[in-house]
Amino acid sequence: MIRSRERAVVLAVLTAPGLAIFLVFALGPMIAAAGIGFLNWDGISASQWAGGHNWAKTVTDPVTLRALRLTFELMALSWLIQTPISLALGVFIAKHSRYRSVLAVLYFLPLLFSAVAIGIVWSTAILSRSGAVNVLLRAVGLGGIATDWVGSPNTAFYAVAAVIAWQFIPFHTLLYQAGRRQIPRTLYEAALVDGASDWSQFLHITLPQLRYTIITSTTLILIGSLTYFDLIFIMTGGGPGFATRTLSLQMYITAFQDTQIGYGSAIAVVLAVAGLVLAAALVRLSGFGAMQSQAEGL
Amino acid sequence: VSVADTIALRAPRYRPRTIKLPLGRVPMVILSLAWLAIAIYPIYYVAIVSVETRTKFFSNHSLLLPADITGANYATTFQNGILH
Repeated sequence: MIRSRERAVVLAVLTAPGLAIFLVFALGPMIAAAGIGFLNWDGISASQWAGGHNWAKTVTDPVTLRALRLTFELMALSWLIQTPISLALGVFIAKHSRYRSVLAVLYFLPLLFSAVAIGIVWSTAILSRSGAVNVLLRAVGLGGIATDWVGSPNTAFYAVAAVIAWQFIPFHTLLYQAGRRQIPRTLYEAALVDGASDWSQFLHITLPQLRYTIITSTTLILIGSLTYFDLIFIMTGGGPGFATRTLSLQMYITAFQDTQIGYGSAIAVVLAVAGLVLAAALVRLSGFGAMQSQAEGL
Repeated sequence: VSVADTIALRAPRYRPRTIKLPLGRVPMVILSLAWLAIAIYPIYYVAIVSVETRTKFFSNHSLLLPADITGANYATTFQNGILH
């Protein structure tokens, strides 16, 4: 009895610093943002009580609704581009051989650069009217489709999604590489004895064993898509027009350019709640929370 | 047995090295090489552009090798005090 009480005290003492940091730096600002969401405030002059006006506006404002739709589209597109490519590359470079090790080092080069550097380089030197993509298109006789990829409303969204993929595929490849290397070799040896082909081994051993890695990667992609800001802000600033204005950019522009801090805070809370719901849904639907070990089921 | 025959018998036979690539792995090799190009090229391209003049960049510049190499951009960078 005494021991269990002592244990509880020790646990409380050990948990307290982490909990205090979480309360002050994570939960506190969220509650403050939710409170500011009820105010009509420009950030300088005295604030006025706005009631539920800002909250109602988040579900009626066409620009915010468009930003929400665009965020979900970016989420889906990011997952569709990044997951298959990084899964394939991760499994490919997980096998031990000298040339694959060299490839792995080269594959991870995009991870070395900051989002700001990537955004500036891609928008000015690669995807601009005189950038590499258009030079390449002209060189192969497809000059007709050359355009300002970031400046055109029809292509800007896809250009941004492509650059995000370029930035993050190496990271997810790294996850899949680590996951693939954790799969016991005996499973492949048994499959080989049974005469299983490479494709069959991938389908019946690699893919099921990478289930939790896929869930982790998917969670990171989806939650990351909700909060992509820096790269899009540098590349397009949310434009042209509203073509790349995702919810995080809409929040920033509303709060700090249009100086509607209250409405911007309401959008921020919607963004945070959407992220929490999404993460909780992924954990619940995938059974990830009940997992004890990566090697479960062996 | 002649000397030439002895040498021919002792010398290891030249066998050209062949890389066996199963047909099923071709898409994977193509994907890995394509990603290699996509991952590296923007970085290489920035390196090319960094040794070109601004006029050259906006007119007609090469995709693989810079035509008129100049160190002016690096000189400007260092003159502006990047090391400080």
